Amino acid sequence: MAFVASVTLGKSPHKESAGRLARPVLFGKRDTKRESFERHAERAFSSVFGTALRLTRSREEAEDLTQEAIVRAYEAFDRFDGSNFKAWILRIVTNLYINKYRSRQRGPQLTSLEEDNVIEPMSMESEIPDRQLFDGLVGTEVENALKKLPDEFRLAVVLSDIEEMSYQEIAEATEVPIGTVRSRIARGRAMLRRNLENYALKEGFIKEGYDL
Amino acid sequence: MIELSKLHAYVDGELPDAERQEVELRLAECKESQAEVASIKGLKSALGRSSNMQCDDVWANCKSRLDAIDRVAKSGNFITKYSWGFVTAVALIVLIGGGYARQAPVSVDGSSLAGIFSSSRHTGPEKASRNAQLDLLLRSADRNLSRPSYISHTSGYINGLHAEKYDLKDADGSLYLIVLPQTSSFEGMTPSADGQYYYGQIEASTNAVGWRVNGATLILIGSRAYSSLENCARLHFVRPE
Repeated sequence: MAFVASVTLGKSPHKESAGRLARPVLFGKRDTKRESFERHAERAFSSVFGTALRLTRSREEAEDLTQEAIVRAYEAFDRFDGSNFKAWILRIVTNLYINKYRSRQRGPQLTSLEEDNVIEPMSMESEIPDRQLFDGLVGTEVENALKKLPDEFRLAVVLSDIEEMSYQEIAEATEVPIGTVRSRIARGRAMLRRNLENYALKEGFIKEGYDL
Repeated sequence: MIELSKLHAYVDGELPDAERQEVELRLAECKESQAEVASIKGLKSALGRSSNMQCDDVWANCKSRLDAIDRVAKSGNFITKYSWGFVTAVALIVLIGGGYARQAPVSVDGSSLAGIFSSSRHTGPEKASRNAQLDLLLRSADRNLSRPSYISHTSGYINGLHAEKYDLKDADGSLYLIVLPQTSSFEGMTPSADGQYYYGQIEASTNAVGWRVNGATLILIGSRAYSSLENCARLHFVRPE
């Protein structure tokens, strides 16, 4: 016997619990959970995938992480409070990444010693003026420099400066105190600035000792 | 010079009013801090120009997954509503041999499937070797993911047919992988959107997802939602032919 045989048993599918017949809805179709979720998710999708890609640094893993996050978000959509969908789903992406993907990743890892280091200024002791460096940059160069940041700093900078999340939202997504977020953003940007400068010099689009 | 993390927070608009005003006063007199603020703004602007990723195909795949969840939820509701007392007795039917035409169907009901759990015994090679066998079924590209880990292995029979059972564990708890070394077809199980996976209920809170691959039939069983089992199957195991 199979499942299909069982559908002949039981009550009529059109009866409500009170015994009154339910009328099919022909007009004024309601916004279903699926439609509402899709509308929110589609708007936030480039952020979801972009963040997954910047965290995993692998397209295949980013696709898996994105799909898993979308499925989890859909299953938990009843618990979404309706305020900020992008922050809510990026929190799911971040949590999944931290709990499932990151432990197996290779690449720069943060040590507690590194996190305790003093924040460096970005503008001082650099031979390359900011204007010259930042104006000459294209997306690929920024993405490559981002990849070299240790996870925690990359996560904080991506959520803040690309996804424009508040410190509070980042603190909730990464489950660290807001002071740690503030420090990671400042340190992450200083590291990124240094990476960009090294990259610019190596690629030769800025020459060492450049003078204004 | 003003404290650096405070300058970053100032540029990000994250300082309370009183602190912000204090920073603005001090900024007017400190050239180094002014240069730092300009530098932070320049970097933020460069990051803001970072392009969006091409991801239409990924969105399409996600929508297919949502379709599968909706379909399973619908069929799950239907079974729950109209087949009480039935699904526990008749759980899963697997027809060995690829269809009615070529071979007589061999049915596997709930009790015979459960039989492999009670009558099976540890056989054959040790853990390392079983782990290697399991490796063949897990997607090699996913070695970096936290895939299900091997706990133990047993061999047994389902209606006289040899079957292997792997006890696995992942972040969501225990699950079992049944391997039938034949290509099989599924009856009485609901197919997924792409027709590659099949869903069935073993008992009230235990579900199964089956699929065919490389001449074998794999069935993943666990006390969790179909979508969770299907996720696990799609993410971690070799995919259907």
